[in-house]
Amino acid sequence: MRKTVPVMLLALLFGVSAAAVWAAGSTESTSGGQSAPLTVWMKKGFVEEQNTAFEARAQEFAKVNNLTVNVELLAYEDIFPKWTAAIESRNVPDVSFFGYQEVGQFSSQGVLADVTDLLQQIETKNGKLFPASVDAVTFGGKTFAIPFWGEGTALYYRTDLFQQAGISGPPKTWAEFRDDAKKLTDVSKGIYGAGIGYGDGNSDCEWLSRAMIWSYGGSIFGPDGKSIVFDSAGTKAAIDYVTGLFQQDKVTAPGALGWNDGGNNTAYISGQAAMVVNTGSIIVALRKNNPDLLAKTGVVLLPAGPSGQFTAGISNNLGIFKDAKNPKAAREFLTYVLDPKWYQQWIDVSAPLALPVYQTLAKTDPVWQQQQNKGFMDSMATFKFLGYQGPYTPAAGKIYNLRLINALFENILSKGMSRDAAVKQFVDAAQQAVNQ
Amino acid sequence: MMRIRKVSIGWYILLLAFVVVTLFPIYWMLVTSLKSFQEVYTVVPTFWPKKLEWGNYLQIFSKYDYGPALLNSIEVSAVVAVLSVTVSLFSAYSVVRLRFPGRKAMPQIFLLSYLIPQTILFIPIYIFLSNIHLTNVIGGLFFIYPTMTIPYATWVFITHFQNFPVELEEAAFVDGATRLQTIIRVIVPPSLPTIVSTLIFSFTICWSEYIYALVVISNKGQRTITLALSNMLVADIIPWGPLMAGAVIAAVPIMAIYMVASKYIVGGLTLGSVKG
Amino acid sequence: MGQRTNDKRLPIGILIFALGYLVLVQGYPFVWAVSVSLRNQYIGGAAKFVGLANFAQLLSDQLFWSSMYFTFLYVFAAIILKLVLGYLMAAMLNQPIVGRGFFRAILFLPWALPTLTSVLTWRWMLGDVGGVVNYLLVQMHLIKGPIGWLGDPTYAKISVILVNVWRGTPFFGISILAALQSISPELYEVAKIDGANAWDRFVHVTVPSIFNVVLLVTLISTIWTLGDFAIIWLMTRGGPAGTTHVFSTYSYIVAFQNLQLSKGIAIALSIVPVSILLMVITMRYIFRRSDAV
Repeated sequence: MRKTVPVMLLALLFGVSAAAVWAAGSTESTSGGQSAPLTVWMKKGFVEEQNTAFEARAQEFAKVNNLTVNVELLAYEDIFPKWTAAIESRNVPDVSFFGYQEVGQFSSQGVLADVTDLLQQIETKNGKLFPASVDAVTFGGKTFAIPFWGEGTALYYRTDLFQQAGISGPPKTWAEFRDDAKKLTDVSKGIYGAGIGYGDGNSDCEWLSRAMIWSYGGSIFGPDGKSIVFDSAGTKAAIDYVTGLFQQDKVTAPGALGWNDGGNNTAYISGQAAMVVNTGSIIVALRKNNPDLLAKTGVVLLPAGPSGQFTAGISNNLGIFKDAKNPKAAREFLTYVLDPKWYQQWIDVSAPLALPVYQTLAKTDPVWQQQQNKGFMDSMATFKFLGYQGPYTPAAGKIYNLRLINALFENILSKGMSRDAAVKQFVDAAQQAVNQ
Repeated sequence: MMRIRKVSIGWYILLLAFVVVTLFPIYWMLVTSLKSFQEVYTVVPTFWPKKLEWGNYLQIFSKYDYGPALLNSIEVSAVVAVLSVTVSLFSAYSVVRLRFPGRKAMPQIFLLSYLIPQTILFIPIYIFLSNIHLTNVIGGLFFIYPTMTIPYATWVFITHFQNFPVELEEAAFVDGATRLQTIIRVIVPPSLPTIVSTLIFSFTICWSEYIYALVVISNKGQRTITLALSNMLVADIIPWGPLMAGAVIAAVPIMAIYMVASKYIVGGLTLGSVKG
Repeated sequence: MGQRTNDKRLPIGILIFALGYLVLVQGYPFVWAVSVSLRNQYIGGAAKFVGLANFAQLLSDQLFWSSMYFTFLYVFAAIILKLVLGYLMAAMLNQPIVGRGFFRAILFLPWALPTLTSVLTWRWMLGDVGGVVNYLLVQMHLIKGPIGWLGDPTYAKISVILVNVWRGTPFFGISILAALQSISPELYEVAKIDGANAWDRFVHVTVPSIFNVVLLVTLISTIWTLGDFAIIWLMTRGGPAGTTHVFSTYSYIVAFQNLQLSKGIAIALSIVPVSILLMVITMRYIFRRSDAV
């Protein structure tokens, strides 16, 4: 008797906890709606109003179609493990946000649905999307996601500092950029002309370095998308240009080697850098938090090199998983959120951070003609993507993920490697990424 | 008397050094949590906010759903900690005190849980949870978190019981107590420092866990604090004010638990009950 | 006697329950990981059995070797520092210091705070704009100019080790403290009566009493540190130029960003033999001494 009571209490403890676990498990119920719920994973944006607008649109869709729609707004870094877990367990959402790289990688594994016909329907009804963005997610003639918004990078510059230094306008070429940076740098005030930095956690430098290399006529891949043509005169000229900024001209901030993605923003917002290259996030942040600095900020297209003007494009898309439980509703949802009237107000909310994918909108919408937004919008027409001069390939994605361009510059600037040795190391590593 | 005071001052100096190094980043979090956006972005750091920006604390609750996240984290961490420690206490006791085949091999199997890093382990665990339909709910975490805490807790108790004098139990048996009564009345009280610190560690292991929570939870209202915080990193501009406010707030339950538990951590083995 | 043997059932039952739970929930993942590492699987793709090809490929992967090198350096440096500082912290908190309970709670905080916020704060403190560490060091004339904590390969390594030690010392400190407090004061008195001085008492009373706990805590912390991910990922993402990559960060990029699941898992599993070796050695010590009980 005295033995059994404590034993029973313990059994009760375990029983109650087990019950709690199962009870918690069963709260996952589908309320309302005839068919299976629609699950949507969307990238959480910087502007909260844009996020709530998207969720509201999803709930409208739910009401109109008598469905349950579950929208999950996720930070970009958080999505990678979730994608993996979902795909491997085949417990995938119906609709998901994808960067164009992920579309390329996932489609090559066959997990994305072919939406070529859906895209055609949308374009026939609403107007054409930017061709470059569509090409970036089209492989073997089939499109595997619908471009939903772009992110451009442009040159930010301090109009007041330019005036003080007697410079008439923003630089149009990299050569002018260098001259302007030298005039703007004032070490005694802690101001540096060129807000460029490197670091493995810094994807900004991966994009910018590519844009610079392309503008000097260099590239990683040849037009076939397979051969590595990195070791060229154009590439070397671009590399010399960048290392010159750091080592000879000393127009970069002292801690610039070791920046992460926040590095150049911090440099600009704190007044440390007179010029930076970034997406529209700084404009949005200044609008809310520092209108004074915003008033002194000019935005213009990236400077051009001897071979032209290039921007490394960021293209964000919505795609449908092949294993989606509700593919029909998924396709209708994509059509619903690409409706031009709703889309226009949604995209304008975060200008200039998210760029519209409809070509006509870009030209007719007055929001995108404003000075601080126009530079970003214009950059979209000069987008080139990873894999240039060829199409996007998973190998190009690997080179970016391994931050090999960043390693090249850090080897030269931090470790004192010679330019040619660093180029050779890059080519070897890139070749390995292609072969494996 | 003079010798004792000299030793004491040495310890106090060491204490000062520890406190400064430990607390400086935390002081920095506190100070940053009260700064305005622009004041955070100054080249020369300021050591106290020019204006106290309490709005950051409001923002983390209103804009970033920190309230429900705190409750979820506390609930999961507390339940898992208590369950794990209970199970581990009994398991360790069996291994050290009782004779049965395989008693040395079994606890080593426990440690297999730690062999594979969680950054890989989360995939098969998610597949497993998927198959038993425990995904997308916080219940899934109750199911897998003990794998992180039980091995550690069991081994702590094993080493603890090895140093524990058998005589205390034998005295209780002689008095006619059952094993369960013995455990509860004779073993637990003097072991309280170890039990309480193991409870606290198990709690904090769950409290700061990220990747399992990330893949298991999809409902905004069920997020734990680690997810609520990582969900704030949306663009290349970090909301330092609210983020640091989140960090400061996350310290409060820990401090509270610790202060309460402090009573039980003082003291050690029953003094003078066993001779020699 | 009869009552005693029946009594065994509850504790052993719980042990077997725990064992069963762990084998169930961790056994499948372990088998899964090993089997995937023996195939050529991409995330979402079908896979063929390729035996040890993934592991063989790693032998010629330069980044793999540099990750291995730094993983061991990182763990070695961090564990030694945490052990020494942890012991000092325990010994200090074992003294009858005024406000001891309060200080104990405070010194525990680095371990208890969410890693994300702690690491980002350190990153900012060691950075350039608003970087308070450089600022103070320069003001106190300890260094001439700012140090590139995150941009210079050597200093980046120091930075991540520093943050790991800052975060992990309380684990050692509080665990060893609990062990110290379990030592009966009588043992010290007996030793004093026998004529032992402070050092002798340390070696002959303190060390044997806490040896198993210290060994265990060191083992567990070593295994955890071997798999450490968040600190390095958020501080340097393995940089500059991949010089602070450890197994977990490199395998993360390969598996989840490059989608080469099999290769990524192969990288992560390379550490397993080391962990097993450490475990086996430690267990032997812990059980050898306990058989005397």
